[in-house]
Amino acid sequence: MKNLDHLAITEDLHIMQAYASEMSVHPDFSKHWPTALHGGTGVAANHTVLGAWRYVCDRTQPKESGTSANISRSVYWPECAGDFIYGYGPQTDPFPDRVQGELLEDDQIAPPQ
Amino acid sequence: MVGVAVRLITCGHAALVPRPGKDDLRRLVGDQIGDVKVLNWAAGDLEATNLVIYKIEAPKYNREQLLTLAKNLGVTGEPERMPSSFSSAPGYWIKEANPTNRPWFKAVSFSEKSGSYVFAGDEDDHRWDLKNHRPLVRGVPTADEALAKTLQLLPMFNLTTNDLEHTAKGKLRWRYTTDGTTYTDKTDGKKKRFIRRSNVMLWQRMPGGGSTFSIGGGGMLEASYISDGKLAQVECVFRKLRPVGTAKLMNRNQIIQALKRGDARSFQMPSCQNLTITNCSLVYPQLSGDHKQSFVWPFYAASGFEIGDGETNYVAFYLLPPSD
Repeated sequence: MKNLDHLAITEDLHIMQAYASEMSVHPDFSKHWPTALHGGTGVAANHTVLGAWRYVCDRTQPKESGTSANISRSVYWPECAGDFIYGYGPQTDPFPDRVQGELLEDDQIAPPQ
Repeated sequence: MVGVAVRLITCGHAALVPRPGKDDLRRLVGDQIGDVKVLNWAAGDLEATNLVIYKIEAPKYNREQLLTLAKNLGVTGEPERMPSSFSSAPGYWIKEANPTNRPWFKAVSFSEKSGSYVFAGDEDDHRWDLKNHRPLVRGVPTADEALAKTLQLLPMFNLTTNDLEHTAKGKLRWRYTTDGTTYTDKTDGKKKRFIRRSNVMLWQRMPGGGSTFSIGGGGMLEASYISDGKLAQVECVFRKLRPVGTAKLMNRNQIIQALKRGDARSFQMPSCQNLTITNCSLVYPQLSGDHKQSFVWPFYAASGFEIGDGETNYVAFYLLPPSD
């Protein structure tokens, strides 16, 4: 959908996150994500919305063969790259009149073993 | 009489080395798979290596070492207890005061839970020209540059290259990865990717042979670099290991039978209908720096591919050998 510019992301939505591959459900997945979003890793880069999604992928996805590595993806408006969740840092509202071609796409690939 | 005495000591010794519990196994090697219907073995011979079980020594906080690390990495401040809400707590950290309201900060930390050290820079790697819709990142280190920079960091963590895993051919085991962002270039309409950050990974050498299998950074030193070659982050999770026992070697047939019985575990959910194993080796899984791990156990790692539903998928399984 993203490639055809039909992704359901408007200027009301800052960031959309998912996996671009299959994913593994590690028992600590549900612990790591809120921990990072709530500023609980001691590393500011992990606490943004984008950073927390990367962090969870890095922490929970098996580090296997590069050709089949799991990939977490964030699609976002450029000005929202540094967004935190409410109460933990600033957010920037997407600029009006953006077109989908201006969306950025951030991938975190599970590091190879 | 001597034989009896040795037997007693061995029994007593083995009793002190527990097997991993259910939760340990799920975190270290995933969930148990089902019975494998068809299994083809195309892997080479197994290495004749001892299967050693290691106890992890309790990490000890050293104030001077944390201060020295902070000084070397350009972080100013005094050590204090890290917040108990941190995933790696209990431990200590030095957080550099940030006079702005910006929620970015420089810090170094030490976890008493795992013995891990972490350095965090205060700069975002996302450099983007909002007006002209193009990246502003420049000078992210190449693989060779990043490796050289990372090897220079080793003394700060009291490590040398002897502490690092090497391949069977004696070469340093290392990986280089990049984190990038994809965008559509307005000038030509093409999709392009700019590299925000480059990462170098080095693994902890296992004294008795075998390979470190890292879950979320365990048994690993990872350093990340951003624009202008700046160090953005380092995490070093090298645990202190002491051999306390051994596990039983398994031969190829025993591994095949165990896989067929469904004794193996995996982070994936294979259909187990038609598997071909192309590689089998000895690995030692280590959890990330926010976990207290008491032992490091050996596992056989079997990988290959499965054919099912018209697709061929890469698969990896882990098998715990029996106690000695």
